[in-house]
Amino acid sequence: MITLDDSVKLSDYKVLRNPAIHDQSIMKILTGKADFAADHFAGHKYFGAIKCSTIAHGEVVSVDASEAMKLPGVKAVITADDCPVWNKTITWYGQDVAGVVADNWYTAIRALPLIKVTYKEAAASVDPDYAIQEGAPLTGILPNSNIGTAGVCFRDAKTDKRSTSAANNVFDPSTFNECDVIKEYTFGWTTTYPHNELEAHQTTAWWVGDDVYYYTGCQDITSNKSTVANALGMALNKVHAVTHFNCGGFGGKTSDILAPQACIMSKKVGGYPVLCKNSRQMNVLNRGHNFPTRSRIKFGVKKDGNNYKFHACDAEFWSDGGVNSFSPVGNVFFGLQKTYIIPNISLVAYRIQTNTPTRGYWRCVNDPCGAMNYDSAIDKLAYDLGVDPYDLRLNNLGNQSLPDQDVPTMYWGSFPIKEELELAAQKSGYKTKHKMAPKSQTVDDIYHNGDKRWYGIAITGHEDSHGSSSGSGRGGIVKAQTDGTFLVTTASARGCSGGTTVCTNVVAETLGAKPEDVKLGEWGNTDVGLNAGIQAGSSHTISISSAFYNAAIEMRYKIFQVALTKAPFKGVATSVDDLYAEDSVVYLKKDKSVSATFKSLNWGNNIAASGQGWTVGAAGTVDEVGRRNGGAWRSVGNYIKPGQAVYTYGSAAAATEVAVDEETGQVEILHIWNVVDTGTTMFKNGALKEIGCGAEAFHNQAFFYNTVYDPNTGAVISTNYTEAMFPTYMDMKTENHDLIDYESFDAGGPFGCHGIAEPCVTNYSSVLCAIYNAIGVWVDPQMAQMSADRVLKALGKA
Amino acid sequence: MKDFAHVNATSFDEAAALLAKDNAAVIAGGTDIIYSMKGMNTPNLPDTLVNIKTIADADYIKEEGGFIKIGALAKLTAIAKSSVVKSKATALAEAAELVASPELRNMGTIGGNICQKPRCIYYRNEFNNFPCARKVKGGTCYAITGVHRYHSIFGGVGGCMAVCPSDTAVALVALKAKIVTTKKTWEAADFFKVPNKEFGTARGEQINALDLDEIVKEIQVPVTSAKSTYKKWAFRKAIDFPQVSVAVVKDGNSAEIALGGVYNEPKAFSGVNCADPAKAGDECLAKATGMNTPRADGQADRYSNTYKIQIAKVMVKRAIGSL
Ligand SMILES: Cc1cc2nc3c(=O)[nH]c(=O)nc-3n(C[C@H](O)[C@H](O)[C@H](O)COP(=O)(O)OP(=O)(O)OC[C@H]3O[C@@H](n4cnc5c(N)ncnc54)[C@H](O)[C@@H]3O)c2cc1C
Ligand code: SF4
Repeated sequence: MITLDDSVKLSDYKVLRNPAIHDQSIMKILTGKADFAADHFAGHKYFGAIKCSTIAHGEVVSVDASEAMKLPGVKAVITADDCPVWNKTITWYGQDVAGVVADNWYTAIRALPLIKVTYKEAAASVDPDYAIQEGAPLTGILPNSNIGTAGVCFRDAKTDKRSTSAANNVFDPSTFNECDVIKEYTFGWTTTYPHNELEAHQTTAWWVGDDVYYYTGCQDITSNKSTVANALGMALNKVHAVTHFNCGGFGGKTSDILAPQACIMSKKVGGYPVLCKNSRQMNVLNRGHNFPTRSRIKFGVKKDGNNYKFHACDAEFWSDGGVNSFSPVGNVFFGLQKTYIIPNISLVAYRIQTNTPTRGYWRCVNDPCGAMNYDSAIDKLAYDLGVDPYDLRLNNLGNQSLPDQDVPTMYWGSFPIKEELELAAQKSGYKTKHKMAPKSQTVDDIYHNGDKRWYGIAITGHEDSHGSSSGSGRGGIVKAQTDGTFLVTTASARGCSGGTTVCTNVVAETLGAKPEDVKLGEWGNTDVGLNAGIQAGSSHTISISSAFYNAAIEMRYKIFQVALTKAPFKGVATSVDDLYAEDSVVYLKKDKSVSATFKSLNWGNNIAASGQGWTVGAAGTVDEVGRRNGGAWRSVGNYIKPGQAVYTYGSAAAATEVAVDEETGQVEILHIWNVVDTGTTMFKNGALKEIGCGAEAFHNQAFFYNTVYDPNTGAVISTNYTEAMFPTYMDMKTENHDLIDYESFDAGGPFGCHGIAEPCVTNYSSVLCAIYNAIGVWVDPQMAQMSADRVLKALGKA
Repeated sequence: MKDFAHVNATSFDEAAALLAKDNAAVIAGGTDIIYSMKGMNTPNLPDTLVNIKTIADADYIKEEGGFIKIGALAKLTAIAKSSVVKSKATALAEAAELVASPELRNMGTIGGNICQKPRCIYYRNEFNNFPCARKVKGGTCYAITGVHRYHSIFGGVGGCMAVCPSDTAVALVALKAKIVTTKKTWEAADFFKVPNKEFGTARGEQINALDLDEIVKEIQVPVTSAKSTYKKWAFRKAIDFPQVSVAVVKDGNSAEIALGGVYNEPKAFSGVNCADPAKAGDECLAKATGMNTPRADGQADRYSNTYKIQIAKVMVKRAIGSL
């Protein structure tokens, strides 16, 4: 039992909130010293490439590899018979059907077309609208249909009933009769985009006896290792998995990332190392894409002075999950459900299955497509009611003093959405700039021909379910070194310097060590580190840093125990509670002149401590000083009492100014202000960079990045950066982004940090709403972007 | 990547002889051809690449005999920065400046730019997964019933709806440039006629009418008193091909106009009255139809490209207005 006084006053932070980076991963990447999966066995390995299906639905009847095997340099061909993670039933164009091992990658690629695959083709449904029509071919994903209910939320104020179960619809549609105004809106398919902007997936695998070793780029090496062990029928301790740097691992998250394939290929060639990697096209064909969503949203409101109150909302959201029957489309309406007080509600999310590659979310649990729909609906409603959308939002926000509307026993640890919206409004000068009537303001005429560009501004924001994913399995180890320094280790990959710096800083802060005395050990090695859990953005940062926080508390206890046995503390201090540490020096609390440096304590190298992270976002009870599980800060006040269970979620608001050239449909972002609740900003530079990434990602997704599907085959044909429209600096001038970390001091994780970046999805809808404010029409992205062609279509000019 | 032999040539004649002998193609900057070799997007790839970068003194830019003469190996960056091109063939300098990105302009040559292959999203797909009419005899055009958002608005040539992807081609047509090859001197407008009779072969994949053993040696742009400009609209501001572009060469109230990104070749309009720039825009686009096929369920065509008509009209108007 830890008896130390581990309370932390924010004003006492020495290391946290410090701008310096203490993890040099970024320098390793920039100087070419980072070891990516492909870097192992340079020049001494075979290469594997994957052949993808060219039908969307059917069976593989035969694979004839004889011609491929004749190509000089080809060593082996594998099929579904060798690779248990593959299936002879094809459900999308681009599915893995065979693999080649050759003595160089280009030979492996050249051999792919020589493998002759015979298919028995079945009718496919590749378009989500057609897939749900009667008589549409079944995709083979669900037993009898191409559509299923993925998530619901029902509330009825009169009976005070609520339910998140499809079987228990407590919503009473007659509540709309109590409303002063009812409006219903529909939105077409939102944008689609891939989840793998970075380089293609790759794994290097080799065998030593019965043990298989592999390096891969992966966001969840622990579950990846289990996948490999299961696929190969091996014990976990025979599988040695390492992920040092993510890169290609993004977009696959927990999926196989070519690891089973590489291991099987290596076995086929006598255990020699094989680097199996995807070309960009193969990567795009068979890896994750974002799901698009369309919706119908009906609002009923009651008059409230000069404003209105939401009274009822009945909405349906349809999302295309491709072949992924677990596609997380069930909470597309999370922000609507949680941000606003809506007494009567019926929210239903459907998942449509199509014969197209797997679709998940990117970058957010609270999917941008959902946010785009309901934020647009709120703005549309406000304009129809003659109320400023910003005022309508503020008048209907939930707040921190209220329990959760669906689970009234739970409170929100933090709910600063009002403050964030107000900050976005203040920073952007919204109230002086916003005009209710579209086309009421112009901005600089860049073409000098009297052609006008219309000006628009909008603010959106919401509570975000990001940060709610489980992190309780994540573990960290702190090991004391003989020289008085510490190494921190986990099986998680070093995705970026931000997360790792947060971890080293948390350890330094908790131990009272100098930041430079806490170094990264080997991260990402499952033989050395503890379970990493999924490295999913900043929720990972929170729970992995909480693991290190817990490990550091234990380490502090252990080194203080050593101190008690040594001069100058021996005989002077009797308990670890008599000591404290600062800047790598241990002091006697009651007499600061009695001290010893960590180094001088000479503690040997046998001291290690480990800790587990806690679940972020789920219930956690608050103790009497407002901390949960030893470190999460809470404001204990009249509504959150000691022992109260609280949720911890992120939130954000965005204000966007646009200029729209009505003649060409060209939209220019003039400025974006992103305000994101960080809880405590533990590492300022990292937090702002992370918010910046989110801001750019959603600016990007609004206008550029797009997965293009061939409507006849379902094949992804945007297979390179040009066709996928990856934007450049010229398109997104980062100096036009204002990034604001809003500290609520009231969040999950050690020292109270929050999930950030992903909540910036709100940019996406603020852009769309700002375009409306400029030109008075809503742009339908039609599964692409809010690009000029879509704007012209909306204006009836194309 | 397709396996290939690589041979250095020291003269255009030597290079042309090598082309005549083998299934070969020239490689200049390599920014386009290596892309195809890597992706193996067509069955008609060469077995040998004849390197013409080893030919001496073929990257000049000079004014001579009433022409600006540009060696085929001149880099796009050099053309964009050349003071003589900027002042006397402004549209060409502006077009070169708007190609791709600085890296690609530093490698890419003018010869390669006007001989690059179509950029159709189906044509470029790896492993010839979409064996379309341009690549194989009897092939279909996938864009017609598929994605045609980036395709021709003036109908197809030989059943192909792909557009001319080259920025400089558009400027050269409007400037009435000549293209000197190892066989003859072409008028730019004739040079960019696609050989549709030979679709399904290597020659049919070209965006110009060159023989397979014919090599561009020089571009000649006549020096006149007319002012010119090139404007480009793409989805992104860099590293993007023109969806619509316009080159205008204006002499008094008469203009030579060429549109890019809207047809298989630069779409040329000669002697356009540009006293009223908006009218000139409407006139150039009068015959454009775009591709727009509403779906069977009555929903709009997600891939319709009629937006190009509107954008092109405005760009013609604005380009004229800027001169
Ligand atoms: C990402 C990307 C973006 C791009 N964006 C644009 C753009 O915006 N606008 C644009 O116009 N282009 C664009 N391009 C195309 C690029 O500009 C051209 O590829 C470049 O100019 C080609 O020049 P090169 O010297 O590299 O040609 P290479 O790749 O060497 O050759 C291209 C083709 O031309 C042939 N060829 C080369 N020289 C000659 C010659 N002298 N005579 C006969 N045949 C010859 C080759 O055989 C080959 O078929 C882009 C390319 C990429 C990869
Ligand atoms: S537009 Fe031309 S290049 Fe594209 S698919 Fe059709 S025929 Fe092939």
